[in-house]
Amino acid sequence: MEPRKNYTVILADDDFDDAELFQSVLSDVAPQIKFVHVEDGSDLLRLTEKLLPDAVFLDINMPRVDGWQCLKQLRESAIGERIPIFMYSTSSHSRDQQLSKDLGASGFITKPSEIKVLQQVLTNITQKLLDGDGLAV
Amino acid sequence: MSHADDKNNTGQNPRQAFSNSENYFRQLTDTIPAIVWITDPSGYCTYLNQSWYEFTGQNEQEALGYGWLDATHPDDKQLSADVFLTANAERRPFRMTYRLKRKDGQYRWCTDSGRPKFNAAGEYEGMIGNVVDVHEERMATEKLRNISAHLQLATTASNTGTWQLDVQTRALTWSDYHKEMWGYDPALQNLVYEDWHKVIFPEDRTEAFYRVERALQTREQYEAVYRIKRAGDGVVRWMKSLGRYDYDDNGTPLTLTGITIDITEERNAMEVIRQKEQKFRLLAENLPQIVWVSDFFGNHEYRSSRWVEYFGAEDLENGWISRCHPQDRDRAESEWNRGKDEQRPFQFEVRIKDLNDNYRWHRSVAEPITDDQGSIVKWVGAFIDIHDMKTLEDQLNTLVTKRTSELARSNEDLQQFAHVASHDLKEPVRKVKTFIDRLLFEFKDELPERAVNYLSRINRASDRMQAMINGVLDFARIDNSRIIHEKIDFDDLLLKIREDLELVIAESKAQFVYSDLLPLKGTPILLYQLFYNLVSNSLKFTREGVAPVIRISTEIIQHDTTTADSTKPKQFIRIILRDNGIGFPNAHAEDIFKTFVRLHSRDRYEGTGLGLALCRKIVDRHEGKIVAEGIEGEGAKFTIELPE
Repeated sequence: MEPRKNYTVILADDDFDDAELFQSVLSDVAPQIKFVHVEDGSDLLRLTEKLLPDAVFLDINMPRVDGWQCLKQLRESAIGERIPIFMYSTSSHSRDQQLSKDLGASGFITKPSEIKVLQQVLTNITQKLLDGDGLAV
Repeated sequence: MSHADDKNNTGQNPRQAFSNSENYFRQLTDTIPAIVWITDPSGYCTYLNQSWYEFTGQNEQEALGYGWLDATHPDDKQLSADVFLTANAERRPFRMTYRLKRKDGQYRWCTDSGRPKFNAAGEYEGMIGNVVDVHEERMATEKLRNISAHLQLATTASNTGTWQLDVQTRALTWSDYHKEMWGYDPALQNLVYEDWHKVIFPEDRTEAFYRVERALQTREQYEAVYRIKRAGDGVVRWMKSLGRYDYDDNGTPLTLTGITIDITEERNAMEVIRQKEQKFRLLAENLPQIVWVSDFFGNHEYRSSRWVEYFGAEDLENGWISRCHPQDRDRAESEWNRGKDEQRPFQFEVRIKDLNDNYRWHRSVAEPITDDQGSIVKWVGAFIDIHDMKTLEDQLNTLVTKRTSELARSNEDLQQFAHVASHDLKEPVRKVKTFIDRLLFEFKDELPERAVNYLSRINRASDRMQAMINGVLDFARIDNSRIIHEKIDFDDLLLKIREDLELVIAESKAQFVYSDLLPLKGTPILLYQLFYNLVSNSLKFTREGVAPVIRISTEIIQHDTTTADSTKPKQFIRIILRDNGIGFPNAHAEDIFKTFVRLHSRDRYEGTGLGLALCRKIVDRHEGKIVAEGIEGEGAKFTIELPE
């Protein structure tokens, strides 16, 4: 199987610092993956109508359409059923982790303050993506 | 009769003359209504006039000589004979009283008096005398004496003084007792009006005098009540005098006769009653309640003025029951009747209509008043307006409900705020940490050593802030947590904590000593926080160079709950956690549980000042209790009691 040439991940996060860090680390661990940043859930939903990403990362607290609504709508849409969706939030609350599972997210990532930790997390995820294993939904 | 014959036969002329004069005398004496007698020098009765024979029914043969003595009462006969014969022998006048038998058989008291008789030569000729029937007078005197004796007895026994005032001379005759009442010597004589008047209390003197005068003018009974200041000791007593004037045939007043009674005791008793009554009325009238007094049957004898103010009338048709709210009427009536029947104090609440037809809640109370024998003579009661109280109670309940929900809402708001604030505070701190980390990660080799040092210090401060925010979040969250009573294996709990604190424990070479721990009951996540904080606390406040040893033990204890609240648990599990750290002065044993209280500088011992406050809150939420004891430089001891 010929590896796919283009991979795209989308991060929906209203925090530009976080988005920048995410991009920085992602380009370090997987430079071949295209990164798209949107500011909130509504932008993401609009984007996915034209673009099929390989993975989606959702912040929870966002203006207009928040992470939960976005997750729910994506999972109900045709494309959303097949792509991995990760919650990417500062929260470490068990309640949020449970909700994330209930709504069908592929994983819950607490935004780390250490780059090493984020590197580790993104390496694991992109490796699986690039290996073409697909990610468990 | 030989003596008389002898006499009659002494000499012719003189005898003739005598005989003539004797005849005359006899004729004279026989016609007068008095008894006349004559005796000779030996005492022999020679003559009794016709009156004697008519009175006694004796004839001459029976009466003359000493026969007259047979007509006297057997008890008086000897004495009468002695008196007469002695006087005759001594030739002097006599007077005696004896009972003489009238011809109808009745003994009559008679006075017999006689005088010696001498002739011109001075020779004793015997006695001449008369007998007077004094029976009526004697009887009257005797009766009077009896009455007088009785009166004396009566007046003395009843503490009554008797008196008589001579209107003309103003002389005053007092009984001994009266004199004593006035403080005078009973032997005192010749008292006058002024002796009565001057002892009277100055303020009452005019009135007493006026009364004496008025009785004279109106011809009615004299009556006066006045105080006296007793002569001698000056004691003040209340007196009551009653009297009546006596007038002669022309209507001129002769005497004022009467009695005087000491009424001090009655007066005092009455005064006490009057004062009591006055006090009661004063009290009753000034009370805001409607006060009433009734007889045994409930008929009102007194009602305070509040009654009229409230009801608008003194007498109500069908009584106050008719003014009760229709819903309360039957109950009020039966309560009232039951109280009366059972003769005990009672009370009940009832709505009563006022004069403007407004119903107001009242508490009706009544208390029986008993006499010395314990039987009820009166009822005293009141209607107490509790309308505002009752209304207020309802308002208060509404208010409390409202406030409680407001409080709950504001509590929620606060929690929301704490959550949001903490969350929003967490973000920048996380950013600070992230960029420090990125700085070090990307430029560590290019940075001078001092810059790296500064960065690590910024990093530590950020850590502290993060911990603090997390602490506040946890603290705020506890109030919201639902408390469950799940059985928790204490060994498992401690194992988990030790795993989470693995690094610190390894670093400090801390030892844990515990065995046979009892299971706990509570909310797992909160009890984890509780013991995590306590263990962290012990691991934190260690003595330099001394490896921390933490000892934990459990036991079951009983608490005597004095409250009637049966839901309050009686059995507790007591957990004692001891360390060998720096301890603390016992004076701070309570302070350490307060939020943001720190006993040590941050540089030496890291902490948010929230750990133990959190512990206290968790234990409080479980309705348990936590206390601390410390010995400075030796260690701390925490005692936790959780309901079993």
